[in-house]
Amino acid sequence: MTSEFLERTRSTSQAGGFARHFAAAREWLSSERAPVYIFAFIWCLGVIVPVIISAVLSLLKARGLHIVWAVSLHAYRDIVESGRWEVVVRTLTAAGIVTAICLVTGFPFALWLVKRAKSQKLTQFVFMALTVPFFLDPSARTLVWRGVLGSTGLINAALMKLHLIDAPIEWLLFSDFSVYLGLVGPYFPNMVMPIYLAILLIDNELIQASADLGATPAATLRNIVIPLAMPGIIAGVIFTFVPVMGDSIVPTILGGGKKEYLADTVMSLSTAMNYAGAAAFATIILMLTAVLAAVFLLFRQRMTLARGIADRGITA
Amino acid sequence: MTAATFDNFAHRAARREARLIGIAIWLTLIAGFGITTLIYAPVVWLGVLSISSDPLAGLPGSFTLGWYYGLFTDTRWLHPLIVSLEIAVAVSTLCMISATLVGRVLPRLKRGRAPLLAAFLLPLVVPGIVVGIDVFIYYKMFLTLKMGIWSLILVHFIWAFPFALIGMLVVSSRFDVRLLEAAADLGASPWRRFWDIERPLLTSGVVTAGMFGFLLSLTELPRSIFVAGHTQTLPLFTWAETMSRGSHVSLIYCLNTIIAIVSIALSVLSVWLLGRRVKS
Amino acid sequence: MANILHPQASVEFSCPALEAIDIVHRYGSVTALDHVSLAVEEGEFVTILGPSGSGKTTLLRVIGGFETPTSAGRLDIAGVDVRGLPANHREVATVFQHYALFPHMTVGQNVEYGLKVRGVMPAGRRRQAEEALRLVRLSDKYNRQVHQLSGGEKQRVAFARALVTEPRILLLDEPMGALDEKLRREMQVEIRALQRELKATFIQVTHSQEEALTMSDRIAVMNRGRIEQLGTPAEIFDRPATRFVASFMGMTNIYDGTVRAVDGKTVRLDVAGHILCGLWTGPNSPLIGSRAFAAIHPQRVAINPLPDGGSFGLRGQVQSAAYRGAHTDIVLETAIGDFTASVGGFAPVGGTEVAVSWHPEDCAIGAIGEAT
Repeated sequence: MTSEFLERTRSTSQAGGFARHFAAAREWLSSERAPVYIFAFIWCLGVIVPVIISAVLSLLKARGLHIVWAVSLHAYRDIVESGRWEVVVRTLTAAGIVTAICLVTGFPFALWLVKRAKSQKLTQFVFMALTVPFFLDPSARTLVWRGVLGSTGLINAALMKLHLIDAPIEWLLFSDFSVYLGLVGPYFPNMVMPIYLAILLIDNELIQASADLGATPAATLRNIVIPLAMPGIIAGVIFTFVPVMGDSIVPTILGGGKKEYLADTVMSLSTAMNYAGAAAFATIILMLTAVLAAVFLLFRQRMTLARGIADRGITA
Repeated sequence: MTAATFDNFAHRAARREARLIGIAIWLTLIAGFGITTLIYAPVVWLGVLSISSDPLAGLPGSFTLGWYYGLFTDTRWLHPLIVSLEIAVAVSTLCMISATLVGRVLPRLKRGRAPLLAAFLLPLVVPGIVVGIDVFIYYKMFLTLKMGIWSLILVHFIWAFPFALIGMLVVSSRFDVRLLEAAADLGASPWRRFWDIERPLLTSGVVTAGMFGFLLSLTELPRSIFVAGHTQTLPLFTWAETMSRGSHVSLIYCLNTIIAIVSIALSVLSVWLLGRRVKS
Repeated sequence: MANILHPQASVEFSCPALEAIDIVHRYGSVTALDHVSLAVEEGEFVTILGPSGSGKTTLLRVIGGFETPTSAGRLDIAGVDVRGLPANHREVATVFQHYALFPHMTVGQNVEYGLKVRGVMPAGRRRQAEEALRLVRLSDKYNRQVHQLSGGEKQRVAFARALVTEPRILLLDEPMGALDEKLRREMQVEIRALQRELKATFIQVTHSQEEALTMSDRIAVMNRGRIEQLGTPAEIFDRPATRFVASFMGMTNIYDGTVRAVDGKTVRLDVAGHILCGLWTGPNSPLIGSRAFAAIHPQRVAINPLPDGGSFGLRGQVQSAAYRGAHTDIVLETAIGDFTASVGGFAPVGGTEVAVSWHPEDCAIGAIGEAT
């Protein structure tokens, strides 16, 4: 990008004259590539730099909004000493369970959508239904679960009215169950979409060839479909696991504050103006994300996917 | 093995396989649509509660539109809504411009396409809370800027831009560059080429980018919590009311029922628009 | 027990490799297969030839089990009724047009796949796969990735992968479609040699008459969902039974007329007042006065300077000549219409009057509007 620009300016400056220099810069600026690189530059400055800076802050001390410029592992030591690492474990467990539920249900669902859903209309409808949740207010739709799961909520009231139970079921709300339930729905599309796209790219002829060679449908699924859909599965797992791990709304509303999750901790630390601590947790979340991505990338590299599929995967 | 015994054996195995596939498909559909129901049931129930005369009772008894009338008397929601709309319009505009600038060129870049795309899509894999706290720390603590509408626009844009870009790329990656070459060959200037050839074809991508930006901004909460300063958006208002466990829960139900209906309508429209363009 | 109930079933090799009777397949309102019947003997190489949309690929897919026909009177593979059996339970293997090699597996894994899913142990798989690769002369490519192969190599791997499962029938879907001209010629010879060596049953689908003629024992020419003619390459090329087959086999000179005289196989056809003499292609001799067509390959036509004086059967005036390298295509205007002749040496200049002649056995005469 810029090397091209430099090259051109260099060659023109050899010819001499500021005017030519200027003209080359103007030419580059008016090329259609220029806005992309300029935007990418601003994007890095505005988005990527804050992430790095926060990681830096987690290694400093902060008193309220004031930064003490001394390197310290205080924030991280605090996490270990205050027993908050339990929060990390609990959050990872929750994210793992929710991701597993989404994967186990989402993969076959995506497969069905691509290969079995008979009508185009139905596919479009389901696709639409999975897009809309991105645009719903997270707190409003989570809040409603209280009215459904609570001790005087819809389910308990209905069950009591039918005399199936005498006392309300308490574990429905403000429990691990309610947190998982609240998380599975909103993040299900994150799992289905990438897998759907990956399966879409698998040539039907490959599946037919597998059957033709005598493979049962289960063997075809195991040997052909799952390996070829792996980029989508990996993307789906990351797109589900990471935001679930960082979700601050659902655990707060449906967890009842009895058990803290990572996001709760970040919020309470920032409310307490312990920004170095909040930054440390944010950095931990990011590191976990990076580790997850790295593990999967290594895994994928080992599976030596055909170049064609990888290329098509990027543009799709 | 004779042909006839093979005959029976193979047919029996095939029937067993077909039965298992049938069962698997049923399980898939029950699970898939079951979870999809988990997404929509709360929204439907939100609507039901908003017209229920006693929204805190488990089973709705009688229905009333009274809570909606209440929106006219208790108008504390009005100002947050206006702020939210202002921010959403700004984010939407930013998304349209930047997604067009980037999205139309990105598929044609010969070098650096993959890393650029990765950088632009990065916010998809960074939890909202991390973006929120990081933006706060950087701009407030390091640059000592005062949080406000601008910082809300910034985090909303960070959240919405990847979606807007994807919406644009769906259209632009199918755009045939040879059309532009043909136009250039016929003597059209770069500006004319953009206006006459790219613009009509990319319009649905631009509209989608704008709608994505608008809707994502309108309902954004986890990032806003950290960078709002003293500004209050509608989701922040809802959040505050929720956390205070106040008595205004019915107000929240009504307000968010309306927002949900508008969001669903607009997102269905934009996805439909995009699908139609892609098909043609 | 089975051979008591079905004595014929116990003698496996007495049944044909394929017996398809009265196959009908419709996509919506489109009829892709219109009451098609085809029997293929063990060890035979049969080519299904036809233009795109003729139903040839559908027929192959029905045999392979990828398409369930709307109705089938009978569909037996090696004596086994395969109606209702999905592809994985049929003893056939397909070489796909685009090879359909699994991109995430090596060459060896691809070839072993059919054995792996049958539960063959790794050592045995490896031995058989290496044997199959040796057969297609790719012994050294066992560990290669699929994307490292050339087009021709991919095709050989596809062959090895299909052959290693020892199918009763090998189905070839336009196997040469993605290869360049030179490679195609080589592969034609190689595939035919392979089939002879293995004494295997091959059914090939192609739209190339050259491929069909050089490789097959028999050819089934398909058009609009029907088999128009089934016969040896020589029969199909020289004795087309229908106008469609004649024109598809490159007989550019086709004229409709009325049968005037029949003498055994020899038929005299009146075309616009001129009598053309040729051999009847159908099984039954025609009735005098019935409509028929006459077709002549341009390569089988001789053109000579007009003989001095006297009358001559067909005379033509040279309209144009197109140089094609090995021969020249000359379009002549004659009393019965335009006439094309491919000649090797002598190429008369435009406007010249010439005498057009051919051997009666090079002129095929067949019934109009009735497939045999």
